[in-house]
Parts: sequence; structure tokens; C-alpha cells
Amino acid sequence: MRQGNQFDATTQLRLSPFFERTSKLNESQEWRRWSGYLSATNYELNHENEYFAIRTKAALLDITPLYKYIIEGSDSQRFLNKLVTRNINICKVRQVMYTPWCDENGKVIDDGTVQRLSENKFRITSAEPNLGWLEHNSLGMDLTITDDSSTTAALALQGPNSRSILNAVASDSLDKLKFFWMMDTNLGDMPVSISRTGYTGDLGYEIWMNPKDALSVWDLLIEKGKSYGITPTGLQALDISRIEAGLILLDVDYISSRHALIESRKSSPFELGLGWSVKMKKDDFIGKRALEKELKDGPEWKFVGIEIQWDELEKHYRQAGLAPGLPSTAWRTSTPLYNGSEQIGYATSGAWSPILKRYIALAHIKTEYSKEGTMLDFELKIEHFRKLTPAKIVSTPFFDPERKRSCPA
Amino acid sequence: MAKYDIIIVGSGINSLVAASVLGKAGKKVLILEARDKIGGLASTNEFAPGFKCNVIHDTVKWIDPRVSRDLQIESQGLEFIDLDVKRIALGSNSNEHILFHKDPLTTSDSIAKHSNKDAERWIDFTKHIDRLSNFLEQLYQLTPPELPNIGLMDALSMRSLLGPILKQGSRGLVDLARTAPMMMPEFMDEWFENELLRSALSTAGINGLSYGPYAAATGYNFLHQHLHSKGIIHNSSIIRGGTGNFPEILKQTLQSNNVEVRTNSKVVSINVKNNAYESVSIHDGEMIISDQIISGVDPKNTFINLVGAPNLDPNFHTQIRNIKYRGSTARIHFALSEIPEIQGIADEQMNTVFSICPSMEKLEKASDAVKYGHISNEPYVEFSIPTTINSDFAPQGKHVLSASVQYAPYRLRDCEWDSNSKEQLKQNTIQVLEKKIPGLSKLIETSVVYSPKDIENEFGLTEGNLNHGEMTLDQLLFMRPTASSSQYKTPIENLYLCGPGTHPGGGLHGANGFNSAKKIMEKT
Repeated sequence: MRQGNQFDATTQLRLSPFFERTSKLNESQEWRRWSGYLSATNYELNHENEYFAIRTKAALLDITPLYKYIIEGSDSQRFLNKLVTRNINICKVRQVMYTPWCDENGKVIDDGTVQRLSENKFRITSAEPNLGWLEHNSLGMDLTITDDSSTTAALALQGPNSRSILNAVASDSLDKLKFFWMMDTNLGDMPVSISRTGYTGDLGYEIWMNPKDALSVWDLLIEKGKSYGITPTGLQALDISRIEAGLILLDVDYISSRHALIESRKSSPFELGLGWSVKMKKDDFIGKRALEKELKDGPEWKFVGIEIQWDELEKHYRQAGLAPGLPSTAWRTSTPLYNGSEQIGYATSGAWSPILKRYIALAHIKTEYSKEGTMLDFELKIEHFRKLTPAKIVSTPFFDPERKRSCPA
Repeated sequence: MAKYDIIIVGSGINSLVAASVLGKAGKKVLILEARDKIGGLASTNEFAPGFKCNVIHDTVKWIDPRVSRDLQIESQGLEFIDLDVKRIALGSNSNEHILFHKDPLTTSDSIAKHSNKDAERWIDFTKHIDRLSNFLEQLYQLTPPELPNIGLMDALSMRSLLGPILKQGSRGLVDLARTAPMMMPEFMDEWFENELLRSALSTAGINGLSYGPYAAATGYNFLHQHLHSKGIIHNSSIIRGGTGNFPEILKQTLQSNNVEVRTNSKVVSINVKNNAYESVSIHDGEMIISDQIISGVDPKNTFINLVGAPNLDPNFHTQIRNIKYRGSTARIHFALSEIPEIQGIADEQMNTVFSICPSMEKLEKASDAVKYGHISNEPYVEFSIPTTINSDFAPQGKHVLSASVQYAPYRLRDCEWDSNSKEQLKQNTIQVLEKKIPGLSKLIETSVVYSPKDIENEFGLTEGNLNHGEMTLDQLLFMRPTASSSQYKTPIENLYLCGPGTHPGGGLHGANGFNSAKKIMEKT
């Protein structure tokens, strides 16, 4: 927790409890800021190995910078049900729900997961600080809200081998832990909670622990995971895999309604492809009335996956006398999409998917052009000149392996 | 099917007016009052054996003419005493008092003792006030438009404002726009030089506020006190038998229209589901259903305490929490062994309202106390002796002196509103009174102090603010109580407001209740 504003010339980024290990492993010394923490961009000079760890072995990511809040008390279920768009009343103990939450105009403020730790205790994670919003909306309710951001450390272990590694170190088997459920167990003698969640769209887990156990848990996983190819992984690789999984990122794919300077920068859940998470049949929740209206009128925008067509892309480069130029990392610059001469949308993040061998992107499209299979024109720059090349609207997730949800028979 | 069409929470003048109007229109109405009698701030109480007082208001500044006309309160037996002397500003010497007469020429004579120049300007001033209040009179009968989305209907409903514009010219509107945000000293600078006159007029500008005369929009508050005054400055009338007769007369209308009134029935929650009103619960656990509900209690009580914060949208919740209340007016009633003597005041003038305020600077200094959470050392005191009109207010030969005292802030810095602080307030008040009524202390048999805290406890007014929210520029018209709830309807479906916390603010005029009832009938 931050103690007031103590920013001065010596202020540095915060260090996660895993930093003692991650800093030594980070060969590239490339770091990003993530919620005020120093967070590894890549550990190796190139992120490719880390990316393939996510998809073919096991990747270990420090996700401590996530904002985390504990909601505890007899009104906690009622409170969360009012706050978020998912139906928390049906969330069972040890179940996890991904959900966005909105302001009263039905525009998304943030998104994250709600973990039901016990009957009257929840943890909610978010990309941005939300304590003020939580407290504001809990007035008059019997509950306490605690900022858990620095009192719980977290690791993500993602990839096809992740279950085997955990089975090798945990005192309980993870074979029965279903997608979006969690369990308490011990890794060695360290008590942890493990949720079957992640941001990669692969088989994967997130491990929640007391920061004092952080280094021991890390060491244990690295040691026992070695033979399974466990690989410390940075944000670069994660970004590609989350695009393949069709997962949105705050401040990249959408802007929190709290920071949007103008109305048109805000998005409703329907406009972010999160319509499935809005439960209109449940009791009143923040933004419900606005969303009811939007549903009736139909949302103006849709959020879709697009695939930039290879043949034409290659042709453009050939004309310039070049081999096809592909982004080596995920990009985040807003890129116009056209139908004829009319701009009808924009892509907000994209990447060359090494596993799919497809050039993919996530995009906001005006509803009328958002049907799957629709061909659009994607703007790209070749040798300083703008070109249009065809892209097709496809379904997301782009990559959706069966192992993500399945349990061993 | 619900037994009642409409439940009304509280039984102040506005609630009673709304109930009467709706009852007359054939609605099944139930009033729920927490106290053992109706009337709210228009109550008359026995405060000591044999001594009665008008707890809050000794006079009625103005009544919405639609209330007098449609509810025929006078033919039902309500008698307004229209005194010739409306108010006396006590001067430092017995021959220096300024008498505000009903007749402006006589007032002008009284002013001439101090300043011929001011006396000459007096008639023009009264006309000016009449002109400006004329705009407000029209405005006060309207439901404020829903900004920023003003619709054609809103625009059309405001056509009644054209009347005064045509009559006064657009100059009148410009004058109003200038005067409303003004502070009293600057407003007075444009008219008068004599300090006693300037401060005596300024007392109307600070009525019920927690600010002094040097605060913005005290000009507006001055006008608010002068609606329907026809330019009679400090206009007010007194109700024969006590202010408490006003609600009693309205009760007769209620009874003849089958409106049910339940006293000793404290509403503890307004039950809401999916943003729509469903029922009310009263203190003994009973739940009553109606199609609609009107709350006459203040916005904070209505939304935070009765509806409950968890049922409010976050934005609206913030707006409601941010309403300023800050009650700073106290009432003190003294039981006197005989009628006090005020030098230079004739016996027949003893029934009017007196103000003690030698200068605007003193008023402002008194108001400084609010900033620091203190009780004014030298408070502004205005008082009347209701026994001079209603002899039954006290045993034979004895009297009651009722004082309104500013400033006694709800929030005290270093102490609570306990017997000590109330005693201090009383002593400060007596000191001020003694200067004009030497020997008053010896006449006092007993007394009762209503601090803002007591007013909150007794009448359920948040922070004891008599207007259900400060009458400041940002809390007026379409912003009262909040921009999203200024049309008497609220974000909660079927929950309406009718108290002084709505447009056009506080006073015993009933305009809020009338407007609110009208709005509901439009809807159904």
C-alpha cells in the first residue's frame, strides 16, 4: 500500500518480492513499468523462447503487480453483485469469475477476476487501482475492503506442462481443478491458493501466496520445473499469447471510462466483446439501466478478431522489393480499418502468431461491418508509404487449445 | 393491489399541501409522521408548564397563492394577522429604531431619522424588490427543467416567465441575474448609506444561512424572503392561535378528502428493488405498500438513511452526500414573568418582530463563528413576543419571548451540543437582548434552547438546517437538491420529493408540496 504521496527524486519503481530472483535472471535487463512495479519485458534477449514456453512447455511469470482487493463481510456478495456485470450470487466458494465492471452509464471502468474465497470473502483483481470506487459503492454495507495488492504475491504458471509441475510440488493433486476454479494447497511447506486462470488462453494456473514465501515458492518451482522446461517469462511473450487468446488489455484495447476525456473513448461491455458477461436478468447493478437501453438500441461498436491476409501482404512487400515484414513483437498502435474509402474501425493490438502462423489483431468495428467473414482493408506502412491490405473478420480466440479447459480423464 | 396510491413521509407544510392536492384529486393518500403530531417546523409546543411557543417560525413570510386559493385555507378558518409594523430594527437609542411599516411612506419617514437620502430612495427600492420578486414568483411555481437536455415541453412550461419579462422588460431579468448572486453589502451600496438600515435589510439576506452578509447570493436569499410581498420589506404575517394552526387547518382539508394521517409512525426504510420503489417499513416492523411515495424529509435522510446508499447509483450517491446542510440557526424561548420593556417602543408595537443588528460588520463577525466551529460571542438575534397576539401562550400576565439566533453552527469544534454549550449560547443571546431590554434576565422564569442538534433530533432535519439544505447558488433552482432530481422525481422510480430540499427551497409557503403534487398528477 502506498503511504501518502512520498514521491521525490529518489523514488524508484517498486520491486516485487520475486525481484531478487527475476533481476538476476533477466539477461536482457529490459524492464517495463507495470502498476508502479519494475517488471521484466523479456528475460532473454529475444522473447521467442519465452513465448514457446507458454505454448509448449511452462512459463513462469511474476504477476504480483496486479491490483488485488479483499472484500469481506456479510454484504460482500451483495456488494460485488451490485458492482460487476456477472452474477456473483451464483458464484460458488472456490469459484472464480472473470468480469468487467461499469460506471452508471454502462461504460467499462476495468476488468478482472472475482475469486470467492469463502462464503463471505472475495478477492477481486484489477488492472488499475479501484479502492476508491469499491469503497464509494460499499457505503452503507456491512463489509470491509482491504487493499491486498502488496500483501499477496502472485505467480502465473502457464503452458501445457504447468499441471505436471504443480502436481510435482503441491501437496494435493491438481487433476480435478477445473477451469476458473481454485484450491488451497501447500507447495513444499508454503501455503498457497492456486486458481486455474491466466492471461494466455492456455492450460495454466495462478498461484497466490504470502510475500514472505515468494522466494521459496519461486525456487521450488524452478527446481522441480526444470525437467518440464519451466521458463521465466516476461511481458513481451505474454502480450502475444493474450492476443492469440483474444483477451483485452486496459489502456490498449479500451480506455477506462474513468480516464476517457471524451464520451466516444468509453466502451460498454457489449462494445468490447464482453456481452456474454453482462447478466441482465440479475438484480440491479451499476450501469444496468444504461446497458438495457444499449441492448435495445443495439451497440454502435463490436470488438472482433481480424486476420491480415497473407497473400496480399506478401504481394505488397514484393512490390517494394522486400521480403514480407512481420512484427516480431505485439504492437499496440491504433491502426485504421477501411471499407472502401470509409474508415469503419481500428485495430488496437496485433501480433504475428508464431504458433498459428497467422497475422492477427484485435479491432473495434462498427456493428454493421462486424459480421464474421467480412473483408476489410487494414492499413500498413511499407517503406514509409501507406498501403491497404485485406483483412478478414474471424472468430476469437484465435488460439483455443482443448487443454485450456480439460481435466485429465 | 396496493391499498394506497401514495404514501407521504413526514407531515410538514409541504407534505400536507401535497397530500391535500392529491387527496382532492381523488388519490388514496397516507401520511406517515414520526412525531406525535403533524406540522413539522410549523409546530406550536408547550415548552414549560403553561408556556407555549412557535417552535421554529413565529411568522409566515409568504404563502404560495395556489395553496391559499386551491386549498382555501382562510375560509377553513386560518387567520393571518397582517400587522401594520412588520419589523423593528432596534437602534442604539430609543429614538433611532427603524420601523418597517406595511405602508412604504411611513417606513420612509422612519428612515428619514437617519438619512434623508435613504428615505427618498425607499419607495424606488420597494418597487425594485417587487419587480424582481415578480420573476421569482413565476419561477417558483414551475418544475425546474431537466438540464442539460431541455425539451420542448420544458421550454413551453416556462412560458409563464414571459409575463414578467413583458411587463418589466428584459431589464428586469437582467436586474434579477445581477442581484441574485450578489452579496448584501454590495446590493446595499447601490441603494442606502445608513448602516442600521443596511444591516436591518441584510438580516433578510442571511435568514437561515450559515454565511454572513458578505457571502455570495445573500441577495437571492433576500428576494426569497420577499416573494408575494408586493414590495413590502420584511413582509410577514402571524397566524392567530399560533403557527401550529396552519397544519391543523390543512388537516381539515385532508380529512374531508379521506387522506389518512398516522402519527407516531416513523418510517425506517423506503424499500427499493431494481431501482423502483416498492414499500415502506415503519419502526414497529409494519410494511406498507403504495404505488408511489413522496418524501417530505430532506434529501440526505430520504436517500442515504431511508432508501440506503447501496441502492443508489454511485454518481447520485456522491451528489446527495455533497449537499451542504450546515444548520446554524438556533431558537431560544424564554418564559417571562411579565412583558419586557423596550425603550422607544409603544405597547401596540410589541407584537412585531425585532431585530438587533447595529451594523453589517457585526453580522459578518457573528457569522465568522461558523468557520471556526464556535458559537457567536455576539450573535445576531431577532425575536418576537408571541403572547402579545396569543394571550393563551402563557399564564395570565406572563409572556413568552422567542428568539432566532445566528450563528450557532451544527458542528462545534471543541465541544458537543450539550447543556454547557447551550447555556453559553443562551447567555450570549441574553447579553445581546439585555442591551435593548435592560433587566430582561430578571424576568426569565425558564427557557428552552433548540440548538441545530436539537432541531435535528426533534424534527429529523439533517444538521438542523431549516431549509433542508443551504440556500446557496449551487443548491438552487434546477440544482436543488441535485441536477438529476430537481423535478420532484428522483432516479428511483415512483419515489418523489416534496420537502424544502427541492425547488424553491425553505419556508412555510407550500410551493414545493404544490409543485410536487402537480408533477405526480401529470405522470399518472
